[in-house]
Amino acid sequence: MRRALLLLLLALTSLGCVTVRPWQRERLSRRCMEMDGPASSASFEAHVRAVRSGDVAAAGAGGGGCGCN
Amino acid sequence: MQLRSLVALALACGCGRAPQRPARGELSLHGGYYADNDRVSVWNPSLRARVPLSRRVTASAGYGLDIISAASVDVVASASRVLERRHETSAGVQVALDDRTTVGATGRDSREPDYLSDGVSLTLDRESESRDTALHLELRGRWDRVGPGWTLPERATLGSGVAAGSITRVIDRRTLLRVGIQADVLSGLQSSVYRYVPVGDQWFAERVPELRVRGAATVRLQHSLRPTLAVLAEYGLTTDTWGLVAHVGEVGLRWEPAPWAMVELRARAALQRGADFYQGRYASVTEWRTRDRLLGGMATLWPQATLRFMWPAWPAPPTWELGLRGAWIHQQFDDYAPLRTRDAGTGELWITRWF
Repeated sequence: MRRALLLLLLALTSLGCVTVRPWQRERLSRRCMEMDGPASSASFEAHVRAVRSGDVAAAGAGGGGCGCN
Repeated sequence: MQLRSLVALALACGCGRAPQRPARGELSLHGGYYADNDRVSVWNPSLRARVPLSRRVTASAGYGLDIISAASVDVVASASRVLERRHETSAGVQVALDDRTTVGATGRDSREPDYLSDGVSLTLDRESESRDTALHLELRGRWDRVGPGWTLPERATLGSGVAAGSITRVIDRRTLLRVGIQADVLSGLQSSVYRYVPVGDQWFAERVPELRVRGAATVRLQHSLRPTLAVLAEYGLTTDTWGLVAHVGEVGLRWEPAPWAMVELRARAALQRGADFYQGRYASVTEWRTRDRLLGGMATLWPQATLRFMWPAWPAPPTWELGLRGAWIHQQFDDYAPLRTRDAGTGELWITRWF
């Protein structure tokens, strides 16, 4: 886990030397390059994931006491 | 109190420049449906709104309802059908301290007959001066009251705290990278109040440790292949003090067939090693025992397809959006005799108006 985090940080910092000017970002401004999807849908998906995945169960569900997981 | 302090801080902070563009208002209606082969189905209509109060301050509110129909084999072998409703409300405020920094606070309340949950989250978003790096920090706290239920005559509590952060970077003219980490602590009753565990010929109430500490890291890469075509890949690793380890990978493709439409295809795969105390069949009574198959070893495949229509067409910011999404979730449990696989389907429809 610690090694994975170090590798991630190393990858991030090593990529810091490239500068992309605002006028060079047309591709990045396209809708298909949005980092996050629609908020309402993301919330539903996160809730389904929270009650159907062991790794995030109970972390963000905030309910679901039906015992049906 | 925290909310008031944040607003006061933002209003007192005259040093920052106000955002160049005022925030837009937003109203969104969303309907979701979930059904699986374990006789569980959930309807989830929800409504969200964001209203700019000034150039710097935006208020948000939301309401969602879960209508849960369940008779899962996980609860009892021949359960009668249960119909339950969960109401969730939230309200928050976001304050732009300057044109690159936003702080926010949101309160949340979730209610169902046997589970009450209140939470608060504080966020900080900051962009670098060159706007090629964005930082997101979040602190969340939650206080739940659980039960009473079959195995619990009186109400118990569960508290949790989460600290999360992510950095999103522009890597080159076509590529974005996001790295995120999260740590959370849960303390209190985490056993189901409806679940019994068979040991030999007898059944005992489920018992799991009251403390769980978890860490997670994710890395996500998005790359534009053509102006209207992008691919994404994500990997996440989660581990906790119960011995559970999960690897989650996701790949996706987004295509804009027209400047007002987008198609997204995504697939997530997860592989999980179960908690140390999980056993498919307990031979003798142990201190910790569970029949929660989410705590056992399992594999998940989750493909989904999304169709979004947005007006006006790109590059104008949309004022309307209509979205549809369908997903299938297939789960295979390593050691859970009553149900070795679970197949579920979800469907979503949403409409959003910005003004």
